[in-house]
Amino acid sequence: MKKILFLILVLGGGYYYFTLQEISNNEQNSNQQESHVGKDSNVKTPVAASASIAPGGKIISSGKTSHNHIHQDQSSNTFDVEIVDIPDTNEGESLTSFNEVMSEFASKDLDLERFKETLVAKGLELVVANDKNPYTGNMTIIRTENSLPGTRYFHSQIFYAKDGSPFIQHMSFDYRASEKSFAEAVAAAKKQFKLNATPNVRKEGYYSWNTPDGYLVSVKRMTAEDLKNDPFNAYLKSDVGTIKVTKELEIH
Amino acid sequence: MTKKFLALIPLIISLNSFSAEPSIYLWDNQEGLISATSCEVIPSASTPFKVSRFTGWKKSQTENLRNYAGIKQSHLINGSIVKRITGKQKSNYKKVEVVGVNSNLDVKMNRWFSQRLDQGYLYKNSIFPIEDYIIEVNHKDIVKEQIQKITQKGSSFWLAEAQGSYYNLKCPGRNEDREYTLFRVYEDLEESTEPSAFVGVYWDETKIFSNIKTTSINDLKTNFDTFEKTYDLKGLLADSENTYIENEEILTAVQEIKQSFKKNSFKEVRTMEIKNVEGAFKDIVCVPNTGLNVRDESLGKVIFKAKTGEVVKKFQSFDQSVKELVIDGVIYKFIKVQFSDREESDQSTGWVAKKFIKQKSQCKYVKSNAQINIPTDTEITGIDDEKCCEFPTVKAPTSPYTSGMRKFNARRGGGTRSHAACDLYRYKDEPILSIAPGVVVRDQYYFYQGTYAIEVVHSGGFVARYGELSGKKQRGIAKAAKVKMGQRIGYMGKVNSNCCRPMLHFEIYSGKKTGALSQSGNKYRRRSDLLDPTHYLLKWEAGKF
Repeated sequence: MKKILFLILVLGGGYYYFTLQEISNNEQNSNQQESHVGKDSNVKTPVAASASIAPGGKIISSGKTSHNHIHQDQSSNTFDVEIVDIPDTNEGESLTSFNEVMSEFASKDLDLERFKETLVAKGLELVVANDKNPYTGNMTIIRTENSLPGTRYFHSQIFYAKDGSPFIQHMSFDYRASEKSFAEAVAAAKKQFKLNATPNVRKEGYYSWNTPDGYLVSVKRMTAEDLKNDPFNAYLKSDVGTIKVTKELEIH
Repeated sequence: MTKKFLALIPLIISLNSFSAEPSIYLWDNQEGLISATSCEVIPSASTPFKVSRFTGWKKSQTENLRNYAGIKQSHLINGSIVKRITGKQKSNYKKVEVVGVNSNLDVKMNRWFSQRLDQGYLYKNSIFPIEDYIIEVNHKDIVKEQIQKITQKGSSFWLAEAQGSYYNLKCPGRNEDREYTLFRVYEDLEESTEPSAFVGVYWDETKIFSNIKTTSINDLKTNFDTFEKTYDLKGLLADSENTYIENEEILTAVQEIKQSFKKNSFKEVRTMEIKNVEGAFKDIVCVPNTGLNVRDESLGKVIFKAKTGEVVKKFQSFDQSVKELVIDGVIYKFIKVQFSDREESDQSTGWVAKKFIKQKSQCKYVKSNAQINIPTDTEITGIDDEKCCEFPTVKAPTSPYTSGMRKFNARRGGGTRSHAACDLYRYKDEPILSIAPGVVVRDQYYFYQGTYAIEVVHSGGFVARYGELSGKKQRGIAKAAKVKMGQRIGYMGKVNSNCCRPMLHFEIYSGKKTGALSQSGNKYRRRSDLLDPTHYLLKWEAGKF
């Protein structure tokens, strides 16, 4: 009888201890979020560090994603995007065209000359800026000076490995805002980057996929906050809603 | 109209006793003082400019600038000039932007003090009329030619014109929508002194007030009769010595355009071209001397002038359109650009001749700063120097960077790689500080999920990558810029995915290797001289908080 009583006390004590820990952690998390409440409507109660919530409320392991910090809301039932076709227009053609370039060249094994030739062959004028310093090496920025219909601001950042071979760290372009442009960009990304139907992160206006070669592909509907202070691209308030398609190294 | 006339009566009863009548100018951040003859003087019931002061039961030399939630953002020194700005309304508070921080008080400043252009909410009772203060404007940061029309001295004294009401200048031409608050300017402050000029300052163009000392008129030991004198501003404006050069230039330009303007002549341009440039990607205005006309959407009107070296960002349209304009028989292609470093919101975009926008390294009219030199007057010898270093956030991180996914060496990519940094969690847009003296070797570039990074080589040769910054640019931070220990170099950002809170992703390297910081070949996917920053951060944190 004493043993049973002892066991109950131990279990009860253990339960009490772990409950307190949980409350303490939650309090700490909500304190840290204090200043962001109201700024970001997507912020909800954090969940445990090792899991994130999939669309529909199902908890999935986030082991495959690189970001398993204290998670904020990454998903919701409302984040599903309509399944659409890539439009059979000049804009759709440009979207496909840039995605093809990114799919082919945004990698750790970049043929720089062929990359430039491919862009030029599409009628694009390029600026190639070689930013050198003796401490952190070279970074080449290749940007287009003109656009393909419905797209603009193609930008790539290239670094160099120890053996001098170039690799893409970041590549992105803008796709004109329209009612379905986010869905179209998602459809094009899935098709041309051969991505899973379910992205690793799915929230309103933002989808991203981790690729097996260590890159992250994302489609983002730009908010006023996103457009503010971009060091390379010029934006006006009327550009809110523009879609940015990016492939970049998982660097974090 | 009658009311306006009545309000002007005290001014019309002018004093004709002084011989050299003061001229009236407008202040322009780029061009300095511009004569204002063509302008009209209009009484006004209010001015956007105010002065801050602490309100409370105990004495304080500062008042708090708060965010909308009421959290203290920074300490604003009493006597600082602020301007009212629009924003979400907050009960008992007014949203303001700091125009000039008063340096007249003996206050030891630190990073928690408000700086010029900081925005926030100020308690309504702590906002005082600007005409109750005399503002000593220090000219040390103003180009001599911009101010020499009224004084050769190192400073001047400014007083808001407020005889019965405030007075605004409204001028035709490029800035006809602007209302310039009128100040009278004295070369020195003596009892018999007369103002040497009147100057109109537009609320969004206030560089003149960057460096100021303010004194309450009540605190002055002498009673200056000159402050009470009234002037015939209309008469001064009609003075033949005043000529509104800007307007003449604009009229000439418009006439030229009328002669040969192809209205909105769009032409599709499709040339295959690669421009190779050395140095960081930075487009600037590149003209030999007089400044570049920046035109409106129709190209028919010059809206302002830009100077050589001003940084621009080129707009790209979603449809390859380029405008052309024929001037003196020469066809110029025009592009739309954004002047992101300008603080004047109505001078942030415009159309310019494409040929005058060049990459910085290709413009022969600007001095190249591509050569990076480590400063010799360093205060530390390296990362292990006992004086090293400053913790890079302004307050202690909200979560430990020694545990969880924030720590160095934490699992990433499902175990395929390891975290190469410590993640210092704080709040978005908080300042990030340079840990040590050094030089920026790589200015802002796209880092990860909508955030940016800069790279700094610090004294002794070690390298820091400050990652996941917001795009907000800290003035003065550019490639080859020298930075001091504790200097603001950027602001905290937040990645797009909402995976984690705003943070500084902080990486350090010993500097024993060269080349790109991101590399393959090890589990961190970084250059092999990557250091674990944990124990350094712990040491610097303990010494600071």
